[in-house]
Amino acid sequence: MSMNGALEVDALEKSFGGFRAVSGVSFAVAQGEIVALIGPNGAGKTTTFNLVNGQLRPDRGRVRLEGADVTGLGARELWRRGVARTFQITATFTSMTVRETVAVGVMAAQAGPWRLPGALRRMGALDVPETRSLITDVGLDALAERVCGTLAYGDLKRVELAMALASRPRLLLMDEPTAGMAAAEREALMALAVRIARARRAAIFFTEHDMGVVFRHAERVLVMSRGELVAAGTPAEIRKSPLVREVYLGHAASGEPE
Amino acid sequence: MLASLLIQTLNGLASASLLFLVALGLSLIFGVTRIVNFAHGSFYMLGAYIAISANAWLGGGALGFWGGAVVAALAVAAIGLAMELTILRRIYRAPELLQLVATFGVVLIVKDAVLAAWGPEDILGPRAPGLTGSLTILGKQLPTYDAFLLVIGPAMLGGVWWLLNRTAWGLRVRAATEDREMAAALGIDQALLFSSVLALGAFLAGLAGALALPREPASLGMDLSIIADVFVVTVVGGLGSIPGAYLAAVLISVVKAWCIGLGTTTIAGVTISFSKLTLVAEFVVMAAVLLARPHGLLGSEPAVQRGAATTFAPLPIPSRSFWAKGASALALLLLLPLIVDRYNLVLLTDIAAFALVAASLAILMGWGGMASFGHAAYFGAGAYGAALASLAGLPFAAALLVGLAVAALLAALIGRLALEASGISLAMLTLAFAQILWAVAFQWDEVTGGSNGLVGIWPPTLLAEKWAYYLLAISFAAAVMAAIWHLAHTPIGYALRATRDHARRAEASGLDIKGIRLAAFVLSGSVAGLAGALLVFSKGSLSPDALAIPRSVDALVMVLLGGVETLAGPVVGAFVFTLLSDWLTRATPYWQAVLGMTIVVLTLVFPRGITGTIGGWLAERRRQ
Amino acid sequence: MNSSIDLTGIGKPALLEVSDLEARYGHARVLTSITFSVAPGEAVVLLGRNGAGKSTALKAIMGLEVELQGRILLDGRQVGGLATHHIARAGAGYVPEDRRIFAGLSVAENLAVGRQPARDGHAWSEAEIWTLFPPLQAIADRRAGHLSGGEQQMLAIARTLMGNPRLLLLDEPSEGLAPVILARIAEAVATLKARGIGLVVSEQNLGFVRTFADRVLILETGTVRFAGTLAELDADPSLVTRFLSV
Repeated sequence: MSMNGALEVDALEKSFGGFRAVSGVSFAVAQGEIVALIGPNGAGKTTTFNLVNGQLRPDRGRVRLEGADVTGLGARELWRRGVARTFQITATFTSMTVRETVAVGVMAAQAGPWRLPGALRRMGALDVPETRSLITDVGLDALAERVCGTLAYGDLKRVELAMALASRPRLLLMDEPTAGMAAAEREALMALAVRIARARRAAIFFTEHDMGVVFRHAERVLVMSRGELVAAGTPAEIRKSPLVREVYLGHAASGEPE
Repeated sequence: MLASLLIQTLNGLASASLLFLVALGLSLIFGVTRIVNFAHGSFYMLGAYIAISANAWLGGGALGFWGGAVVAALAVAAIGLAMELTILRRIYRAPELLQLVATFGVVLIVKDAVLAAWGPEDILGPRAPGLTGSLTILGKQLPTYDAFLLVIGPAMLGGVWWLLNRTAWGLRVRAATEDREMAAALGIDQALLFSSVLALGAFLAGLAGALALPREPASLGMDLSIIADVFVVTVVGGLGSIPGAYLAAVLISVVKAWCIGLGTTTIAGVTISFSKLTLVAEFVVMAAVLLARPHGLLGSEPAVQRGAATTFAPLPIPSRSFWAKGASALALLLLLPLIVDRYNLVLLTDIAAFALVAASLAILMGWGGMASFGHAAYFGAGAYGAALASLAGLPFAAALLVGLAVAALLAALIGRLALEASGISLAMLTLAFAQILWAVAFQWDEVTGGSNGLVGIWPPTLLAEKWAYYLLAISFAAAVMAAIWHLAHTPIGYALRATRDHARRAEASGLDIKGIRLAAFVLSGSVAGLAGALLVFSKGSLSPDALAIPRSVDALVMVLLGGVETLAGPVVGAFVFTLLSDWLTRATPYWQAVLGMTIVVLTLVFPRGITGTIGGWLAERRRQ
Repeated sequence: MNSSIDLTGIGKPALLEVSDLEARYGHARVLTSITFSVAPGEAVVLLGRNGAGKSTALKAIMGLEVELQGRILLDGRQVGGLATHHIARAGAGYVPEDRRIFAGLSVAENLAVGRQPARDGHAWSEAEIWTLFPPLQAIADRRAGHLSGGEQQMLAIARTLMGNPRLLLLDEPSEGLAPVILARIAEAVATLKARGIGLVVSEQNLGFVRTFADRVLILETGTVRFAGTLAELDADPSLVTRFLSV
């Protein structure tokens, strides 16, 4: 495995009770690469994703970022090392406006607001160009003063994307970015995420159910089934693979008992 | 030495049994209903008082004692059942803080009911016939009754284990404790289950109260002193874990017993009075366990609640007109001494201080979403700090600063420990810390003046007139309120609300959640401490009441009354609540019961919190 | 919408009749005018993507979590708005998506929690459960939290059967299971159908439901987009790409 990968995952293993959710999963994401992780419900995607983003600690195996071992580190440590994420169920600050929410993300990455006299200045006065350009990038100018709790689902996804990008990440982790959205919206959101990530030279690692989205936007696709990585390749290769149909539609002949 | 250590250990185990009986009931009830029953200490107290009357009614003797204990436990079970049917049943889906406040309303009602029925004096209970002697172990004496109690704890643990593991009822309780919604989907009637668990839990607490009689007299203070200990035991043991509660009860009781047993000892030339350090020992045990195991000895990460996440209303940015209104209100308040008499000026000074307390609590609860149930700790610490500084000869302004600093330090300490826990455990822990502090103030005669408190704390002559001090207090309060309102919209205010709205999102965005929450604790504690310091100079005296649980609950009620989601809410809440309780205390000797009923009714009418409920009504009207 | 017409054509009275069902979480409306019926011994499958409203429909029937409007008749009796345990006792059994077995209880204890009085003179016994799901018998004393995903799924269904339901609601039963286990569960579903139990199954795995589905509803954003038989679904491949695309 190359040492300049944005993310390297080596032989991850995780069990819950007696149930082995992830076993022996290894892969890498190169700098600026867009990689999708797919598989049917219960295949271990979410567990793998949570092992990478620090929410879960693996029983065995390592996670490395740009060569540095980050296995088991928490969300804030990963943020420090240039990792940002979005959540499957949108997570925003529901009591704040879009501008305030994005500003909190921008502010967190700066020193000024946490020292005197910046700490005593109102956030309005800290409204920096970075916040404004992020809001513009995700197309929310018209909604900037709306409270997040009142936004439509698709717009919340955009707010989250802006928040994730506020720290200028080198790796963006997205958990089911288009879940619960209408077909047209999904396409637009993922296209937006990929466009901004490319412009900012960030890699994206995402899990996704919608194969249309995956095949159109991922540069490489990883396929999981029953806790193991069973295939990896370009969208074209994956689309042709009989294995993927088998994994998804469940009419395999080769199944062995659990 | 070894023999006396053994005796003290056995003694501690005997105390642990009673504590465990109460904690067992609390844990069972919490397991299925997810409600922490504040009134559980009241059940314990009722058990003691009812046993005394039942003993007399049954003609004393063995029948009187043992029969009385059973009668008391059954009567308390019936009372617990009544409480479930009339109150708890209506608030199972309410926010947990509101549930805790509602059950505290019951505490107040029970306290006054006991006062009315049995009077204010402590009553010595009967001794256990047949168990009045003592056993000789290694040449030392152990009261026979202690030996009996020592067996009762494990016996009850075994009995409840049998009930839970070997009966159909127990199976349902265990299933509902894991997932009550799924249990309902399998046809299990939750209402019936909850009622029976409440009755059993109350039975155990009532029994413990009756069995405590040979060791301690029945008194009006036993409800809150046991509940604080029980909260400690439950959190240290791991919320919801029954063996954990027993382990914690044993650990804490035995350590306390050892402290008493060691008495005054000289170690390496330093004389230490261990018997006076029991409270400190309890604190140290609790702190050590929580730092090593944040979820308690046998506890695990709390399960994620099913159902929709709570959303919070936006905090309005103070506008020009808001500041203008505030300024005119301040101007009016400053003119009040022209028309208001001395009594009411003192009352208004109280209100100024309580407004600060409520506002400081609202920082934690409202902005931070953290339930502090022991806010009196900071208020009282500020008051004691300022009073002691003043008595030591420091000038007024310096004394205020000392008060503030003591409170800030305390908040940093409590915050550091309590923040290991979260949600309802945080509420229970902060309450326990405040209660320990209260006990220290109550017992440390040399410094705090014990139950008599401190007297003769007056401001300089320039401020000696009530109107002058009122003007000072109002100005202080106004300045601090303005600072708080400004702070709401600075980075720390936003960061704090971000951790409340979505902690994991905030963390993933690089916010230091623990640091921010700790800062909020210190800030909130400082403001409450300043309020305490200000108030002590208005009163001229200070007693441990300033640290007591009811004072903490007062602050909570003020905040809930006014609403946490507005800027001026806590001030309005403090104003309404202080006037109301002042009027009540003068109108009736049973003002606590009236207050308790008011709290219960408020929580039943406003199950989602006052602002939440009214907001809901308004939203409903808009929809139609 | 012709989905409320009895497609089985045998004229049996409907076991479950859902008409104009609407459900919301707070302000968000998650189901809109859902109408369908289930006859005894019939399996109706709800298909659709994540978030289409399949799970919500099952929860709504069971009286869980959501506010709802519309009619839900179980055996001709309105159960919409009743407390969940009354709906269960009226004859509905629910097996949730994440199984929600009582992890701290043994397999046998899980079954015992589900036990309810006999219905129509029959009560499921443990022996019958072992016949339906043989692998469970050997692990009757094991803590349910230590079971594999397939064993947990079998246990979840078995536990619900102990309540002697006439209607079984299965939410994503195939999730994360090996083909061999899927075959066993499909077989069990067929057995239950033969015993006159009506089923509503929410699924994403079309392959799994083929052996037992009598009728199919496709849901998208909380509304029914298609109602018909499997044959009718297969006759129009565009349906699969539009609503279920893998």
